[in-house]
Formats: sequence, structure tokens, C-alpha cells
Amino acid sequence: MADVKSGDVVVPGDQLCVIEELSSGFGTYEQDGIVYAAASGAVHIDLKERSIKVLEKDGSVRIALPMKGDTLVGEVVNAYEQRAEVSLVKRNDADVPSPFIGEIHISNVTRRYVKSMYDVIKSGDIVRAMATNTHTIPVQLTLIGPKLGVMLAKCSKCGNSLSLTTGNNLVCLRCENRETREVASDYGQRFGLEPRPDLAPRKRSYDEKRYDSERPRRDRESFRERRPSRTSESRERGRGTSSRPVRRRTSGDDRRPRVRRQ
Amino acid sequence: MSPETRPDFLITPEGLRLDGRRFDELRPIELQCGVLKTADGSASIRQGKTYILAAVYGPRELHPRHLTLGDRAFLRCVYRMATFSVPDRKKAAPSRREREISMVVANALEPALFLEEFPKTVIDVFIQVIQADGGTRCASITAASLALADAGIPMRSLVPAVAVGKADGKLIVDLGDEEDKYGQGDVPIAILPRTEELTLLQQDGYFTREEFLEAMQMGINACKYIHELQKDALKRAYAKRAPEGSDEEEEEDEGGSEYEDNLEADIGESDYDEEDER
Repeated sequence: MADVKSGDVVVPGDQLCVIEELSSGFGTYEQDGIVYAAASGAVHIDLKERSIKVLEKDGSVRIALPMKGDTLVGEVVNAYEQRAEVSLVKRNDADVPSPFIGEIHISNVTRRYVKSMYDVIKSGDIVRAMATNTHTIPVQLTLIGPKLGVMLAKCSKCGNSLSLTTGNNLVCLRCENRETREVASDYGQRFGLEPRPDLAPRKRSYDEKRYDSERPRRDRESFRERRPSRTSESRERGRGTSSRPVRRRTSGDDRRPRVRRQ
Repeated sequence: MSPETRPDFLITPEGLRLDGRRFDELRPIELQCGVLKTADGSASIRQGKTYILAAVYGPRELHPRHLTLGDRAFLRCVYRMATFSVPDRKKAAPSRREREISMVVANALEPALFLEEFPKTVIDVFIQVIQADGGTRCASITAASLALADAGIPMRSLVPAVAVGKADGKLIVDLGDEEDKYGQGDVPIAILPRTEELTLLQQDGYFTREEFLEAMQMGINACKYIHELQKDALKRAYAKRAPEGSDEEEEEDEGGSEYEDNLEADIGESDYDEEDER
């Protein structure tokens, strides 16, 4: 069989086998029908796949770039409507000496529909993500999975760390601002932020929401003017994850142009 | 200026060189992998009095961006000599010679690497000469290729390098500083050992055709010896990272605890415990 057996320590340039015996996998290369080692490490022969690899003792590939399936931790440096850029500093719980850039597309944040990246990720957040491609720059990331997501978020108004209430709802304990994120299952726990389910956004009944819908339009407009518009905006954002359709907008009585919805 | 005079002869009447070596004898070489903590890969070489550190970072993002290559990685080598590496203080600014050697080292290493596997990235190789005593460019290549392998970058082969020279009309391998300065010629070579392909070939001084061919053969033989040392250093580094077998690791732990127990027995603590139990 091959010139080497599983577990042998090889260095780059060592002859491993011929291509008819085993096809070349990670850490090997093939030249003129002969498979050579391209990395230093232990030989792993997979007889089921009939492939030969050169890996570390624990089966990992010793290279600075992340591989598919690696768990990465980083800070969101830029968030856009459709994608976000992350500066990655940890790979599989080990610090990386030179941070590299990862990218999250809006379709890889959760399984459900997300209207805008700003509803789930904002710049300054610390996220845990998984790489979906191997040895490329920028790294494509996904947040789908219970352990993946935002680990720590900052209030966009005052910069204080946000506390988790329920689901994906967060509240700032300093300025009472409510925001939403796609959070990891252990949100804030590494940073000493206890979940605060008692501060969960109160659900208003459907009646309460449309209590004045039967009244004449003039009445309602005057009510709107009196009400500060900011609170209505923030309250709405606090409800961002609910599946309830926004009836108020479709009913056509809202003349105020909404920039984010256009 | 340090007092340096030309020695009366480079080859002693007994047929030995200044430091007592034979013509085809290398200086003692000590290679080590993983010497730097924050680098992705690193290596050091001690060849006689020459001492060089090589660090590899990457593949990583390339800044400035306009240098990125769309189809392969960019290999960026930087060879620097420390100000204290030579008898007279070397000026800190990078000299023409350092820039040349940086390029020569990059060109010597590139054929051994699979750069096309990492498009748009950079592989940084930093070579710092701590102490220079001749043959630094060859030692740099030897150490840098070891650091690249230590970083896990896929390579066709390691790249050993050595200089062959001529002193007092005799061909000699692995020149020291004085042989380099006062000798008649110098041919640094680097090879890919399996195929004996040359990746570095420079020449200084004059050689006849016969001399040159013989020098090449001496160099290749010396390179193959250095290659064995490189392989050995990599295997040692691997054994250090992953001690033999996970099962045996546990055994080692047990051994450690046994040792601790013995220590306790020596100071009589374990005896007390037993008495208490009774």
C-alpha cells in the first residue's frame, strides 16, 4: 500500500503514495501521479473516501485562515442594509494574532425574513459566527444556529451595554431605549449582563392599537401631532421581531413618509 | 572602526580552513521552529556565529489593497539586519543590499509555495538578522522556509540554501565572514531537494567552468544535509505541539499526580491522612 501509514509524521515534500492508491486531500499535493505532503503533520488516511490528508494531531489544519465550520468571534465594524462586516479576533476560542475581515449577508442571519440588517445587527456589536467557506478572504459568515449571534450589543443612543429581555428584544438600562438584535443563546453572559425578562416590552392589545380607527380622520391627526413621534418609532422598533403585520401603514391613513421603508 | 586585518592565509598549511573546518564541512547548524509566540509560524537558525529569526504572518489581508493579486497570494519578504548585528553599527535605514536580499529570498521561496491557493491575500515573511557572520542570505532562506512550513502554508518542499566559495584557489562550502570578505568568489545557491531544481543562484568573483560545476555539486550535497536538519526541526516542533498520542498524554498526567503523591509522602503528609482515616 502507501509509503506511509496513518499517524506518521511527515514534512513538506515527503512522498506519501501514488494517486491510484489514495487521492490527495488537505495538506497534500499530487504531481505526475505521485502524492506528496504539502504541510507538516500527521498522516490521516481515510479508506472510506480513499483520501490522504496531512493534519495536526487533533485533526485540524494548521493555517491562519479559517475553514468551513470554524466558530469565529469578532466585532461588527460596518453594518449596511444588506450585509455587515466583522473584524474577527477569535477562532475556535483561540486569539488570532492578525485580525481578518468577515462578511455576513442578510440571508445568513436567521431563517426567517429580515427586512433590514439594522434590525438584527448594528456596528459595534460583538458576534459569534461560523465560517461557511474555506481559506478565502473575506470570510463568509453565518449566524444561523442557537449558539451563534450577537453576544454583546451597545445602545445606539447612549452607548451603554444592552440587557436582554425576552427573545431578541434588548433594553438599555441607562436610557430605557429598546432595540432588537439577533442574539446568541448566551447573550451578555460572558460580560456579566443578566437577562431581564421583567423588562420585556408590554404587548398592547389589538383593541388598544386601533381604538380610534373609527373616529374621524381630523381627530386622529391632531392626536398624532401632540404625540412625540420618537416614542412611536422606538416602540415600533421594540416590536420588530413580532410577526404581526403593520396594519397602520397599509390602512393608508399615515401620511408621514417613512424613510427606512422606502 | 574595529581592527580587522586580512589573515595571512585562508587555508592553513595543514589543509584546514581558518576555523579548523575541512573544505566541504558546514558550520554547526541549529534550527528551531515556533520560537515566536504571536507569529503564525516562526523559526530560528544558528549557523556558526550567524543568528537569524524568521517570522511568517498570514495568509492575511493585504494592505495597501492595490497590491493584491487576483489569482494568487502576494509573498512579501522583508530582510533586515539589526544595527548591532555587525562589528560597526549598521545604519537603521534599509540599505540597497537589504532590499536586494529581500527580493532574492522571495524569489527563492516562491517556487516552493502554492500561492495560487490563497488569492487576494498576503504572506508576510520577516527575517531579522540578529548576528551576522557570513552566509546570512542562505541562512535566511533556510530559516524562512522552515517558518513557512511552521505556519502551515502548503509547500512543494522545504528550501535549503548554502554558499559555496573559493579561497586560496580551493573550493569551500558555507563561507564564514572572513572567507566571504577575503576569498576569491562566492556562489550562494538554494534548491528544491527532491528535484534538485535551483531557486537561487548568484555569483561573486571568478570561477572556471570546472570549478563552477564542482561548486554546484558541493552546494547541492550540503543543501541536502541542511534539508535533513530542517525536516528534523519540523518533526521536533510537531512532537512539541502534540505530545505522542492523547492516551499517553493522560498517562503523563497520571504520572505527574503520582509524582506529587510521592512528594507528599516525602514530607509525611500522606501518612497523616492514613492515620486520620484510622
